[in-house]
Amino acid sequence: MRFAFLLPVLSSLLFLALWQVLASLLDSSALPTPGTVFQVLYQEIVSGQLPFHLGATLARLAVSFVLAMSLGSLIGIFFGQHEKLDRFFDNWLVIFLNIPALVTIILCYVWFGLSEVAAIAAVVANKLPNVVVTVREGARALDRDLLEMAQAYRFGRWKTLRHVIWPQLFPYLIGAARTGIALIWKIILVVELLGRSNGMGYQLHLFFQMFNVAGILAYTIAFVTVIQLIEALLLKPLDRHAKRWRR
Amino acid sequence: MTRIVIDIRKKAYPAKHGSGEHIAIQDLRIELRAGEFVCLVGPSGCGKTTLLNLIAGLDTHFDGGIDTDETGKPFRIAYMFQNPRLLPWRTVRENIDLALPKGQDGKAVDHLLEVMGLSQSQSQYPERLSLGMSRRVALVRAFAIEPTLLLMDEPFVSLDAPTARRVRQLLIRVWQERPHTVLFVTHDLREAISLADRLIFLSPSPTTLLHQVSIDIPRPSREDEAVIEAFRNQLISGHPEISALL
Repeated sequence: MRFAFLLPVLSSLLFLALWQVLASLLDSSALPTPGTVFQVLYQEIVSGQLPFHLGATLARLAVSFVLAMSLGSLIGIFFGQHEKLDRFFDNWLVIFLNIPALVTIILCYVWFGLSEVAAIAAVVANKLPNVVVTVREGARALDRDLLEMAQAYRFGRWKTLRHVIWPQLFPYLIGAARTGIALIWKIILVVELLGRSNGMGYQLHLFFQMFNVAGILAYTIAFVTVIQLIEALLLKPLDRHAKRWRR
Repeated sequence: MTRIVIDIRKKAYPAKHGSGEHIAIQDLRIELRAGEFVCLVGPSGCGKTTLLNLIAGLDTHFDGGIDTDETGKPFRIAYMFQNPRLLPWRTVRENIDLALPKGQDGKAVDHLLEVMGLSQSQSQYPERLSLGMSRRVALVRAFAIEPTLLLMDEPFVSLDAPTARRVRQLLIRVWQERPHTVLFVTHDLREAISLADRLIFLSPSPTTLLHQVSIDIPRPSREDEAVIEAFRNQLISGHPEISALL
């Protein structure tokens, strides 16, 4: 167990060391040393710039995540249980899955203006088909034997949903949530870069114009850390909780 | 007292490409007296499970009806399936409590778990139980709702002989504590003779009633395999059409 804890620490240290060596050798503003980057990170946090922009991005993330997950789950469950409709709309899903994120973003801004609604809509539109496909898979795989049992014992709609259907869909929902957060993060920055005046994407755009690599890397570190925290503190425990009954 | 009349005029599966309409059950009428233990015996694939699904209301596409002269108390059906069908993400106790009708307390469940030797396993998840234990949990669930009619679909199949015999004894014990009508499907004639008040023989599909026999062996003597065997031999020699089924 002690070894399992040591390994990630060692690999992170090795990564930092390599970065330090490479930056010292190159001695260029295009690759600042870890020390410089952490200094910028500290200044940005203290000045309140980073928390402000990170907060704006996180708020957008939360809203679009909740919208995409709930809408996607509803549609996914529906398609999973109605085979004919599913086959009819399957092509639509394939098309939406393959539209490049940039296209949806541009179209949303063109159609709805450079507004918050357009930004959220663009993110949701990108994530939605993904959730639908994953949840649909779960709804197709529902155990008929258990559904019959629930019917024979007169469980009723609510009990059946809560105790028979939900536990079977949960792993699929968690799967969709985990890939979802990673995907939304990446898209949301492009959305902000193209049409918002705050958020991580906007800030990175500014740094890019000033060739401020240290700033870009500092924001990246903050960003990766937050995602890892969400994953470790929220999604993993939820996943473990859902699997507690397995042998 | 309650009498239950099962009257299936016709149950058919619609024609699929290539094959015509398949008639599973035709003109089958069974009357069950209150508290009677009836075994349905017939070859595999003769529509016994279909019949139980119709009675349980899982399949409503058929001509006919299930009637009862029950008044006052609710008509309640419990169904013990061929496999235990427990929710793997709920504990043993939760699985049973979920099936209980509203307002029923857990005293009966405590007692049943005790009799079945499951009190220690209440908080376990079903995946950690042996098949024999899972079957007993399913049995407790079926009895706990205090049904008017208990349907059992070959519930002891694929258990080894000693385990099956033990669970059968437990079944009879809890049933005698609170008798209700039981409809038990099996293709094992010895099992049927050791359990039932009455045997009903069904034909291969389209299923219809072939023959019925009352069993008057007193319950205590049914422990004796020789008695069961003698009854079976007598039955088969008297009715050659039955031996053709088995």
